[in-house]
Amino acid sequence: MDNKTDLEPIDESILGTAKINPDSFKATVSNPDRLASAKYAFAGLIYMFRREQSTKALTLFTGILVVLLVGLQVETVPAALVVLSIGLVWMAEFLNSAVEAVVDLATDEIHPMAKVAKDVASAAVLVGLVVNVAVVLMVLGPIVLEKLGG
Amino acid sequence: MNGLHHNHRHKANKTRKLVPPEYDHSVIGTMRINPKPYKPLANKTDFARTKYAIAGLLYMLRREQTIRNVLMTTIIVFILAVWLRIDLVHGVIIFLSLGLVWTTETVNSAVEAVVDLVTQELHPLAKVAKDVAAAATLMATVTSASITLILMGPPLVQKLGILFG
Repeated sequence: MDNKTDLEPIDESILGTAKINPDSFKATVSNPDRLASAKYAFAGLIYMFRREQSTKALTLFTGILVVLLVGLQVETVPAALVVLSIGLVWMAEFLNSAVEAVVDLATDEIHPMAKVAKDVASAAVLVGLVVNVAVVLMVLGPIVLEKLGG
Repeated sequence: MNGLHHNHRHKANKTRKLVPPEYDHSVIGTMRINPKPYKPLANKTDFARTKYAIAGLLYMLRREQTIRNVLMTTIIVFILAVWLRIDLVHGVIIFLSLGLVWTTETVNSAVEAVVDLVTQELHPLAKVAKDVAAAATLMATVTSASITLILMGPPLVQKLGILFG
């Protein structure tokens, strides 16, 4: 694996990045089979459900939201906005776990940049959650208040 | 030996000296960390950063089949939205959801690149990182597809009904 020592100098131009072929740096050859790629995505999904407590909590939260959206007969546009914002949280959550795995793969030292990577990635989840809660409150808040008042 | 070899990475050896004994676990501890000493290149101007972003986009379009599929989907959805005269708010929501897919695909490729940078071994954590990042793109795609179906399905069925019914 130390054949990477004699790397070519990096082309700093705007087209330079596209000239880099990632296949020569991969442990396994890139898979052209789209179905196999989808399989890996499901493998990651199953991993998340099994290993991450936060994913289980997120599933429960999403389930409650869906029940509320259907039960309160929320209109299409506000419902779509709620779905979109919860999708943002799922995405941030998964990418956060991916970054955590990369950091643990890269080093098991206590390195400041490891902390920066992990903390910033989890800050992305926090931002997604705040956006989601704001959207949910804006969409469901008035409807719930109306139900309670009437 | 933990199976992780950094010997060929001079940067890793250099930065080892900078490692403090332990983290500051307080909430402002991360903020106190200055990333500059660990970067091989000095911080660039905003213009240079935009250039790197476009360079990354060009890389994606050339090297990743998935992003070309996303581009195709975006174009098809745009044409459908114009043809079906989709409501502006509906259109904005659909394109927001497609933006989610673009972002996730791009960050997924970034994670893949970092994994390949860190190791060429078949390490379990490399698999976890790549599969979980791929799962993120799956979640984004599922979200976007369901939103597009909900908002575009009924007008599409109606339009096709007018055309063929």
